[in-house]
Amino acid sequence: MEENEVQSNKQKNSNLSVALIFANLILAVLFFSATGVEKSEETVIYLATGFLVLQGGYAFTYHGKGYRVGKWLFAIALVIALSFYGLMWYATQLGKAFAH
Amino acid sequence: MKINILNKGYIALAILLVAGTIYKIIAYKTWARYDYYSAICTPQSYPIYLQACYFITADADDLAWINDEKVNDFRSEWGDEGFPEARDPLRLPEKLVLKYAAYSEQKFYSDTLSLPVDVIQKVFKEAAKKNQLDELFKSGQNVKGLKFLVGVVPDGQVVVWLRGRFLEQVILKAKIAPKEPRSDEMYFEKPLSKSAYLNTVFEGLSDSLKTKIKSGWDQHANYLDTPTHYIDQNKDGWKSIH
Repeated sequence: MEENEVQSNKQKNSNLSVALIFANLILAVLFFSATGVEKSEETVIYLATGFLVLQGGYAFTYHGKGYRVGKWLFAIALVIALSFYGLMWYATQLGKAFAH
Repeated sequence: MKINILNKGYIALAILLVAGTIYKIIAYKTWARYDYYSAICTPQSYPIYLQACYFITADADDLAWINDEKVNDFRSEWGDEGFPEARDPLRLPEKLVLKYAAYSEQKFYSDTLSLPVDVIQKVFKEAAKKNQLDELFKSGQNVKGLKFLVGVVPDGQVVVWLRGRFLEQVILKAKIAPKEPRSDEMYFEKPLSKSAYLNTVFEGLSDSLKTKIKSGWDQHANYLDTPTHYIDQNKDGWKSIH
């Protein structure tokens, strides 16, 4: 009985987490677009990083069979983000090389 | 349900984001911003070299630029506003910073003029009510707004108009006293004497214009009270749209 209650509490928290991740993402978009004078490339980087951190929080909090999808999604997002940052770094270095 | 620490963190972040957004909107003062375009003009017979020309608004981050392309190319005409375009909405201008050297007088002028903010605000509000806002080009989608035109004539006389559809109102007439430039104000690649500086900055002025100005062209013209014919020239275009 008690085990069931713990499981159900975990399930509820997990659902709330997913909802909050998306709510925070939408709020972050609103925050960055509030005045329309931000630099768009920087905004995309902030949003992607924020989303990654939120997903990471989920992946490291919920363990067990039913929550594996969160870990997979985080791993995929991490790979995409890292290659994206790598590409950005490469492009900046390339830009510097052509600056002279 | 007992909310775990992760969700508490997420909720705290959401609250921060909402507070941050509200703060940003209040600091930006969306409701006190207007779309407008600004330009400067001189009579053809009075070429000037602009050292500084911009508006100061209540927000130090505003880029309240004034289109000075034609004046810089010495092909401005009296009343010529150029191509009206808008960028981000700006707070209304409160001060006009002007610093220039005049070719025909071989004099330097520099001053920061206060603009009548209440009058400007009133004109903007009434123009919006009376459908007098004019179309301003903006990448993405054009916007409706008004146009500031700064006019500079000999003897340090400055006029500022506010223009729209069937609207041209003088909002400022002022006179700037000539000032001897400091040596660091005559720097063009290297420090120059006054005559060398004037020769350098007016190098692009065509010889025919120089000769005409020397022979006293327009010497007694009173541009300040000359109508610009702005409304006459544009009314057909306005009528065809609406």
